[in-house]
Amino acid sequence: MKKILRITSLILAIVLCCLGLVSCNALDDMRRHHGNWTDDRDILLDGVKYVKLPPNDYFSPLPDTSDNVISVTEEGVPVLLSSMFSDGYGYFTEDKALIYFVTYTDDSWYYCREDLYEVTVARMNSEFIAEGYCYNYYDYEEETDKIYYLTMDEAEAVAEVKNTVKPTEIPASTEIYYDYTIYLYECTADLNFKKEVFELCSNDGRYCIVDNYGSAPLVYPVPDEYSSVFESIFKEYINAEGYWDEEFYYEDEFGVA
Amino acid sequence: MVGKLFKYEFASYLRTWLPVQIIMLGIAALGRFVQFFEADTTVYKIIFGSSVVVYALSIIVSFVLTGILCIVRFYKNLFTGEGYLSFTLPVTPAQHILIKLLATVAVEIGTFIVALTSVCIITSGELFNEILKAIAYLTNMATDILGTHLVLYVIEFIFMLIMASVCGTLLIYGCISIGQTFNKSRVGWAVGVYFIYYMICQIAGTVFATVITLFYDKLPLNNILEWIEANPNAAIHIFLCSFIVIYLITAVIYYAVSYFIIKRKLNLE
Repeated sequence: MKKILRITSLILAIVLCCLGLVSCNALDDMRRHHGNWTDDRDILLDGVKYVKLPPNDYFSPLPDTSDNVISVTEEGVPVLLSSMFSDGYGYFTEDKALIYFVTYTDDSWYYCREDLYEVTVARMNSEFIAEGYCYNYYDYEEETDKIYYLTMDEAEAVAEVKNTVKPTEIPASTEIYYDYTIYLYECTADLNFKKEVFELCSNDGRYCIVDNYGSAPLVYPVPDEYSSVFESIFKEYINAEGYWDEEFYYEDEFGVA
Repeated sequence: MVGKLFKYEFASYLRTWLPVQIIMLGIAALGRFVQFFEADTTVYKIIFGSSVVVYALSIIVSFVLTGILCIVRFYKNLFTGEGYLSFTLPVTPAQHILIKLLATVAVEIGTFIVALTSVCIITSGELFNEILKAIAYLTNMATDILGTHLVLYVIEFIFMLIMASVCGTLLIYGCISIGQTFNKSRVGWAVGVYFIYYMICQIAGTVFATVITLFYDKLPLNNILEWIEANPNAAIHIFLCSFIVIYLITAVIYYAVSYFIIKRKLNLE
């Protein structure tokens, strides 16, 4: 019995010593998503420093929410406790040049890779020149936010309707329900700068543009010749979002030019 | 004589208990060995997942087997044919119960330590280092908040667990002792006694909770809650010590039942 115990202990000891040499992929992955605050409240993540960008009304690159969440803690917090002691949660953008971090007090900031900071700030300080239209949607299959950038034909159709169709003014207290509503943005070609402009709405194959940014909401009904273009705009959104069971109450006055 | 009896009691436990623990350690080592081949493939994930499931089952089996072993040792050694030999030894009934109890508690603690060792084996390497770091960090944090109270809490908690183990073991001994007073289906009667006792405890607990709810306004519960809020450390100490005392009292009662039956109502097969 004693001999068996001695041999068993010896084998276990040898195995334990060898096993100490093996690293763990899951741990390495956790470390890659665990950042630390620096003294000046920037983020140090996987050996790379990300500097906090100044606020900007239009700067909103899309975070890649399909990736694992980034947690950021004070220095010294073990990696296994990173999500427990994180001050919020963050995501990389697809090119990993930026981090979008949301604190648990509902602040959100962009952090830029240190080597790209000057270029990014210069870009942010330059005038916002819209180069097209886009909208955000959530892809349930890939479980990430996405941006749909309107094609040239689609953008021209939207601009044409907005500029030529006579709008109908709606009383501010009116509630209008649509099957689908897209919040449309003017944006730069790199999709990093966006400015919300109006909404595109759809109900049962009919479309309109709703401008809520004036003193009263304005509805621009889309003429039939542009229906097919607007259908292609909505296609990506509808495919991703699914069916919304809402009624359209403004039917009688809708369509009046 | 008592020392020798304890030694042989322990040896008889080890004969069955030890191979089970060695197997559990072996499964843990195997589980860690599988991680040598870590890869992002479906095959690896299936194999690794299976090894973790088998390991978890081995821990459960180990604890269950320890409990069963202790019950069987007590019953067979004192209330079956073996009992004729046991009670011819120059050992009092109290000593018999105490020796069995001590061996049981020692084996249960041993199972717990071996289970912890197996966790160390299956997580050995970087993961184990990170676990130690996490424990150290949380301990530092708790020390900063609680100060010296932390050490006392840990001691009280460990003592409470040991008392809970003793109390649970003596409860089972008491049920077995009552069961053996019947001539037929002794084990069945022992199980029945346990369930009747459990049901009585549940009914008493429900009645107590109902009374508290009905007379909530008349009882000084708000004052108690305010005091707890103002003195959290003292409240936790009182809570833990109360449980130790309750377990102690109930353990003494269960012991008394077993002692009385073995001394006055022994009914060997």
